[in-house]
Amino acid sequence: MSQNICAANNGKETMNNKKKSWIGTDYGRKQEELLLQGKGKFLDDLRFADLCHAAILRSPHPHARIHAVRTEKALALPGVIDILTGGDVGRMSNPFPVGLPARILYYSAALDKVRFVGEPIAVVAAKDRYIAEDACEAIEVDYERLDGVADQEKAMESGAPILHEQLGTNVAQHRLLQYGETDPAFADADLVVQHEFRFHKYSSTPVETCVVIASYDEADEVLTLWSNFHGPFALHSFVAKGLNMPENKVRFIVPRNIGGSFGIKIGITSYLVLIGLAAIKSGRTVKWVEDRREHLTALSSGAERKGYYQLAARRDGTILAMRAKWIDNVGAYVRAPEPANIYRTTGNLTGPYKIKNLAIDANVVMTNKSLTGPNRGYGCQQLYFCLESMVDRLARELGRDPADLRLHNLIGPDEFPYRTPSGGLYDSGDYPAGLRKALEMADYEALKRQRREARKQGRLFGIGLAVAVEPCGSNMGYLNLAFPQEMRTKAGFHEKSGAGETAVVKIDPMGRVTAILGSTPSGQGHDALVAQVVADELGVHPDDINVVTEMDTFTRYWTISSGSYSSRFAAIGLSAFAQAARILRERVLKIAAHRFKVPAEKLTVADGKIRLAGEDGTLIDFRGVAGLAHWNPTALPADIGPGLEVSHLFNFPQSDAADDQDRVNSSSVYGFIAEVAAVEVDRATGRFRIVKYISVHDAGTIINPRRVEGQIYGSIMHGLGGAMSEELAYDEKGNFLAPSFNEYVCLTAPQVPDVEIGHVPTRSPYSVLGTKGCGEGSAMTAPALLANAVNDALAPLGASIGELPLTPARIWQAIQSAS
Amino acid sequence: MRHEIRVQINGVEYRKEVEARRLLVDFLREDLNLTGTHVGCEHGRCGSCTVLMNGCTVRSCLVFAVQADNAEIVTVEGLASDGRLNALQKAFRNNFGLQCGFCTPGMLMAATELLRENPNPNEQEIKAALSGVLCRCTGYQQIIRSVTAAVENAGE
Amino acid sequence: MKPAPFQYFQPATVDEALAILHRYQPGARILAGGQSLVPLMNFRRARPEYLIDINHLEDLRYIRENANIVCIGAMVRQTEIEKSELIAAKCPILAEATRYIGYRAVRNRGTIGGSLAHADPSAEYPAVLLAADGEITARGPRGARQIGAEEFFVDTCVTALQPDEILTEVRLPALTSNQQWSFLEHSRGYSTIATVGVAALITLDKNKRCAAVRIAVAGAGTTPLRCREAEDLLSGQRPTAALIKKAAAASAAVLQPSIELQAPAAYKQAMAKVYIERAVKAAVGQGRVA
Repeated sequence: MSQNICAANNGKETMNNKKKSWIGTDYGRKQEELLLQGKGKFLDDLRFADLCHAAILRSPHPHARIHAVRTEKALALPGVIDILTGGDVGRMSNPFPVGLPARILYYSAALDKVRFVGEPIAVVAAKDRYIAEDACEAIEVDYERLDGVADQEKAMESGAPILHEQLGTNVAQHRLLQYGETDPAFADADLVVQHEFRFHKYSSTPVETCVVIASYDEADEVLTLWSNFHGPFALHSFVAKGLNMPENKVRFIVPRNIGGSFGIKIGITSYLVLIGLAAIKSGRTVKWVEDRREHLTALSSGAERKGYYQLAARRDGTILAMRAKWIDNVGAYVRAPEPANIYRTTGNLTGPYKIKNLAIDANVVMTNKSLTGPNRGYGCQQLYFCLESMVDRLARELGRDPADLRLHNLIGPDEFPYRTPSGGLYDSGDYPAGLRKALEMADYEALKRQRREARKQGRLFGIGLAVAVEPCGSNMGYLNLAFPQEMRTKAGFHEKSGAGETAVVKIDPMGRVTAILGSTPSGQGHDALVAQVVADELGVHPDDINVVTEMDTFTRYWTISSGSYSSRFAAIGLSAFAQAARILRERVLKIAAHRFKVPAEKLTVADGKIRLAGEDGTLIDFRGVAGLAHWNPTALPADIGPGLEVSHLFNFPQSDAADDQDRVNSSSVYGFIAEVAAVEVDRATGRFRIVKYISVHDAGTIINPRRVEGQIYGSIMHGLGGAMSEELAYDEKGNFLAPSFNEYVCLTAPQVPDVEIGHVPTRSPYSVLGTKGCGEGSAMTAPALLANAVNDALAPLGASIGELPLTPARIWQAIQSAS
Repeated sequence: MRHEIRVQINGVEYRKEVEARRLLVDFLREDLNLTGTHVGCEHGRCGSCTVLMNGCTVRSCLVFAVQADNAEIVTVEGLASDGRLNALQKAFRNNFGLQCGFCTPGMLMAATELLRENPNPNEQEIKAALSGVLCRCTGYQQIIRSVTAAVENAGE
Repeated sequence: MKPAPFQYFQPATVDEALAILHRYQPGARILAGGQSLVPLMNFRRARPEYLIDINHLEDLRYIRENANIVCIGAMVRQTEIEKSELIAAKCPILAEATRYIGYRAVRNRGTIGGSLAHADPSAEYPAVLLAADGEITARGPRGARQIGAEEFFVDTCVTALQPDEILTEVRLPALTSNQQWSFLEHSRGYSTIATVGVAALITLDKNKRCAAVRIAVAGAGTTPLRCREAEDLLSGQRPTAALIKKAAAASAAVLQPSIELQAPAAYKQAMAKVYIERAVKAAVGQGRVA
């Protein structure tokens, strides 16, 4: 049945005061109506005077020296305004700061060498994009081709082509992270299960690509960069450093609408510099719209991981320890925030299990591929793909039901807050209840009967499980784990910590409420969530709240952790807004109390009106309060102060810096996901059908149920797409094979499985409203889930797959190899 | 070489000069400022550029503006009248059939064509009609529900 | 991704189109539906200097039957084929194959002539033309000629059309009363480019033996390929499950498919066998069902 938005927008009646509560409703927002009419304000929709349009000439080779770049013919084409080359970039900018202690020189364009297909060589600014592309073709480049290497393990071998000569190796970092005592645990174990895994390179490919518009004001010496970048705004410094400009002269502006990102648009940072330089050099406002080929070839993706795993366990199923060797392929350069693919998950390395001892041998390796960064899930899909597969393998070794084995090892509900061996502080949860709910919703026993029947008939039917702790709201402190302890203790080394977000809530002189975000949503509906929360706190109707989502680093209140990433908004952003609104509410009540000479505690706010508790008559409304505060500030007592604006920063106190044992609480709050899936594999073709998909989530306090549902459905399809068919494929030399959606195949509406969603919310004690996050959600678990289900289906054949994507060809191959 | 074209868009007639290679989607967005139609891939796969041309959905990234001479085009801006959402748009709004909104014009045009030809499609038919538009936010479920709701509401 | 510059023509008649094509060789190309050509142009993999738009040649839009031959004008849209009652009745394999082509918006513009002239070996229509023993009409400065399916497809995206010829019509034999058919396709995603596609037309005599068998496979070579080994084994025989399996294996064994992303050659070859088998079974087993 369709939900009547009018009903949803009437809020929920609460017991006391006839006050309606907006939190927990499916509140819709006018934004959606505008988007439905094509009235969005995506960056490419905005009109600027006197623009010129850029196209980027990119390297067709994975690895080559550049001996010359000749632009005369291109410059002579009518309509061409200016050309920026790698030489210009080298002169005008600095190499970007690197997030680990290795001297890697990364510029926004290739200087004397290209290291991946698609690396920028030059930028043409012209009257229109068509001419700019014509001009790109007219630029002559003398390349000396070099051997390329695409596989991260091959890149570690001696004799492999070296990408960065001054480094002398392709290994950007090798770190050992050790927690507890793995050696004695392995010695004590009754059995050790061992396996290797390969997680592939894929992206979330938002439908809107990157857009950058750069304009340099010579008089003010200010470079303004409009883009659909969405944080973390720590990268503002990264860009300013690259530009060799003072931070307060670099202005980021982000439009109201961003067409999805899922972390991928974080890769825009080098283009902010590149197009910025083009604007500075040409003296013009330069606009660049990334096309799909550029997006797939050269923007960003998750990191591939080769994982070697060992689990040590007792015969009773208790997992004693885990050892893993990770070899992550970050592409040709280490671009911030990498190597976060390794460190983002530090706090939740052991997932929801009571594993006390673990050792990770982490390797960050560069190859001739495009660069990596956050990709919905960021490190968790790789982590859980390996971990959950290992748990299933252990179950198989022990002859134990995989659900049972998990229940045996899960952290119990009475153990919170739970400190993981690697420093994570799990705030709340009931993992066994979550898993049990998923099993119940799946009718696990019936599925097992179905499987028995199918196997009797020789059909390949499999059941898969995946459980995961969903980390929300990254703590900047984890970034420093990329530097070993010896370096962190040196003088001058900057400790990092914090997971903060800003909120500005104000009442204007006529009594209307405005809420201003310090982050930039890309479809998650943050404006609606803010309106709901502020409405509940201030006692106004959410439709009457003007929520501002555009970002401007010159005028907004922001900090380095500001932005939309790591599923942080519900936990951190809304905490900031709840607190800011409460502070504002206090002030409003104080003003009214002073005016009417009553104690503030006796006053209530509802529908924008202030009343004495228990009475119907309005004392004063918001407009009246605004009148007192804005129009007659001198009449207010000193302890209240003029104006009605609160600028607030909420920081998670548990987001400490990493300690000297390499432990860090890498996220702020932690959700939980438990999923059950059943598949049937067609033996002849390797294709499979998802027969059932149950997805149970703990996202803490739910502000807007239908939006949460939307995030879960979306994250499932991202996870399944990555698991089944999406692959940024290269040949072994680094030649790129997927420059369009014909090669990079995403899932579409007919491929949607029947999904049932369940909730097991446990309030977080650390966020103001008890919220956690859910944006990344099942992107973290779907690959693990699917692999487990398919491997269960193939188990009678003795076949198993530890690689992604699970294409029909790969499954078919596994079936052939086994028989 | 420039060509003069006369094209009717959302009931309004335009007369413009275009370069032969100018794509229809660029003509709509840049020359006419109708930015509701989006560019997502420029090779006909993602569907964000879908418009109705002479009554049929087409990929405006694969049509040259010059080919639209004498054509009647409907874009997403032409669905609502005077800012009042039509029944399909209301169903999307009520059922959370969009998140970032970038693929939404494509979904709306595909659904518009479907419902015009088949007022009572089953779930398979709805999914097939939407198969040509790529969405990365919603996972499609709520979009399918939106179209289903539009079908149900039409019956009321 | 914007195309390279070109001069654009919109001829009003076929003769006019031919004249322009002849005049501007070799840099001239015909623009039909554009669903294959324009993406290539946007990628700048195709860069015609002269583009001849034949979308307004109404003379090339018709579907008729003439003495058991279905004649389809080159500019008939794929959607029109999908919805045509005549084709549903007389050439249902073509209608079924159309359902596998891309998406509705693509089929609204894509044409049968364009698809055949483009000659992507993974495409549906070339395999159907081959299986159905169809032919195309090519018109050029030297007049019109018929080219049979067997000679028409020469290589990947290369046909027997001369550079100054236009494909104006497609002819397919109407389905006979004792003829059964099927079309199946296996691809990486939903309606994405085929990994393997099979078109099968089988005539069974009154003793349920295969009087005539024509099977064509898409995606397994540089052109659609006839499955002669399978056809030979099935001809004159009752199509038992075992024989069909053997026939499919025989044809698949001689295929040398090139590698595709996520579909190594061995897999493609195996899928050719699976789908030839399934297509033949579908054609004979359940009557006219895919």
